[in-house]
Amino acid sequence: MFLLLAVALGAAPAAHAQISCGDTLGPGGKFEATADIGPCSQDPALTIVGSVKVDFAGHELSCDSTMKNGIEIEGKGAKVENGAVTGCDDAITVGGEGRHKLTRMVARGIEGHGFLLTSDGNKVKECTVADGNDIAIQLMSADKNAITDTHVARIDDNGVQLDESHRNKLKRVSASAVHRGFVVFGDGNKLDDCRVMDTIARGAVVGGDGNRLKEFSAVRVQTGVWLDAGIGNRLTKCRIADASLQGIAVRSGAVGARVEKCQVIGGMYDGIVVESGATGTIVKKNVVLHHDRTDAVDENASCGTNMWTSNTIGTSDPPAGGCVQ
Amino acid sequence: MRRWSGFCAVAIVLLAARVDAQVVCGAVLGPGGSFVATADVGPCGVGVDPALTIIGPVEVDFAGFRVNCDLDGVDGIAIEGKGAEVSNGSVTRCLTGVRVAGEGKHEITQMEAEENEDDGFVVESDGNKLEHNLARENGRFSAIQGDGFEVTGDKNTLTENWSTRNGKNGFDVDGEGCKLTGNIAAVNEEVGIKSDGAKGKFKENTAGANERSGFAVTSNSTFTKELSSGNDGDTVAHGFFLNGAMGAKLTRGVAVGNQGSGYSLFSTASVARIGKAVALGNEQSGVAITDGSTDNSVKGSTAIGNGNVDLFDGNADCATTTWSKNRFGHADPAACID
Repeated sequence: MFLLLAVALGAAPAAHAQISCGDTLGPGGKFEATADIGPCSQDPALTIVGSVKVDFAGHELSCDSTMKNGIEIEGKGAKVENGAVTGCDDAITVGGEGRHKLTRMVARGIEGHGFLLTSDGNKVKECTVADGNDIAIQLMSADKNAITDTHVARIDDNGVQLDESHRNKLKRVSASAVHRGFVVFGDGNKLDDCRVMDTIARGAVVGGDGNRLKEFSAVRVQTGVWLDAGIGNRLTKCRIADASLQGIAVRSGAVGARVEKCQVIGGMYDGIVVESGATGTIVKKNVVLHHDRTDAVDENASCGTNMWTSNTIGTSDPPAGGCVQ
Repeated sequence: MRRWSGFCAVAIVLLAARVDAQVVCGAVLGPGGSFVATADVGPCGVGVDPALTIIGPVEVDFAGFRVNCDLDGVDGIAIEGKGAEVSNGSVTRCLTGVRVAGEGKHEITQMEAEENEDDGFVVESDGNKLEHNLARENGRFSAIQGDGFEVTGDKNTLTENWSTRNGKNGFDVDGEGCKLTGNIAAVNEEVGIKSDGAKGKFKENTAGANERSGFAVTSNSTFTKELSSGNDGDTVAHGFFLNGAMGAKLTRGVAVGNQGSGYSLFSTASVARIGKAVALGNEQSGVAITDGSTDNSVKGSTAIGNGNVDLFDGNADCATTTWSKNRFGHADPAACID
């Protein structure tokens, strides 16, 4: 039944369509909403099957219950833009074969995810998730996605979470007033100029191997960045201030982590901590000052295989003159 | 000059010691010389106000050590003269943490002002540079509500400083012609970044999770690529709140997920130019212009998914405001908003 509707709507090129609850748009065609949609009782409220272009033209899709999902994107290469989803469980699920593009989409007042990506090669640009109860943006087994100029705010759960997701790129993504800012479990992900403010827990948690965080900012967080067990994760040119626990923690089991050219200023506990069992860590050219307990700590005897060089540090453990310098 | 005469002897003694200095409460460092602290200073108590005086030109490296006033109501560090370079120290439990005064042109780097009774940093003189400093929890636990950074002098430059959990504003800029770039104001009890001084230039600053508006503007300053996100409190917290501003210019700013509107122009604000702005997912409107706010322009901006209308003009037929080439869902009145 939906297929017939899809064919009918898809047949109209660049159609200004009154999109209705329960519709399936695509594959094929261009649609532009002419009014708000819902509140919808269907679950999902709308299905979009790429390739197709859907321009919401600023209009909003709403669910009649936060038990129901908003938009499910399937197929390949859908372009979805300029709309908002409110009052749903998961606002937008990006699945199918991937390579979809979401631009200027907003998820607000939702129970579940803002954007749940389960496919590869998608692009999320200039989008926002606000006032949510679950993870704002989650990637699950989703690789090579690009998220840029996107912001999440006032979320009860984590801001952005990557699970079993690899080689994704996040650029200029921010999280304000969230539980954790960024959680990265996967390999080869890159976070560039991302920032987090006001978390209950960590600013960023990085597991997996070969992840890169560059120019990452974390202010008023519990631990700024937690480099978990993994190989070759890097943190460069970061700025961390006012952490209530640790600025940066290189966790036991981390191998070859690199912390370089970071500013870690002011916190209620420690600045940079390399935990017992972390090996081959390079801590270089950082400024670490004004922590209430210790600025720099290496829990390994004589720093083990970790190397501390050219850092500006106030207090350290082992103390000045030792291997932390 | 007479004010410092009592400390001259101390200053001369310390001047002679070129590098390491055991700085004591009430000491005067400079003018002249270069000092590196070797221990914490204080607690400095009643009768020693400020705890430490630095008179430029002079270089003072606190090497991570701390000045502590033990909540005795005295100021921490007073910087006088001209061209002092002060770095790597912290000031805690004083009245005002660091007062930057004198003839100005001082450089303050990697200093922290924490848990002072009033403001963290007060910049009274002109032409100073503050970089990578942190103000946290100032004016929060006393009867005084303090700012993280209060700037009353002119032509000061603040770059990549942080201001968090202060009892009042993160940054309060009253001085004229100041430049703020890459600073972050988060979780302050009032406004994140407040601009009252004329002709300021603000660029790429961030205000997040403050209890009042992210940016509050009463000046004709310019704002470029600012981010205001998740501000939320007991009073309505907007992303950008213009109140009394005449001729402010806001370009490429992003306001997302704020409790109030993304951009709110109160009736006393006029002649604002908002270009290529982004307002997404705010609880109230994306851009809201109150009745009486006139001669504004809102061009090339995007407002989607806001709780009320995306673009709002309270003036009949939009009066003298120009709305053009904006991307939005709902507008009120729709007839005059493009």
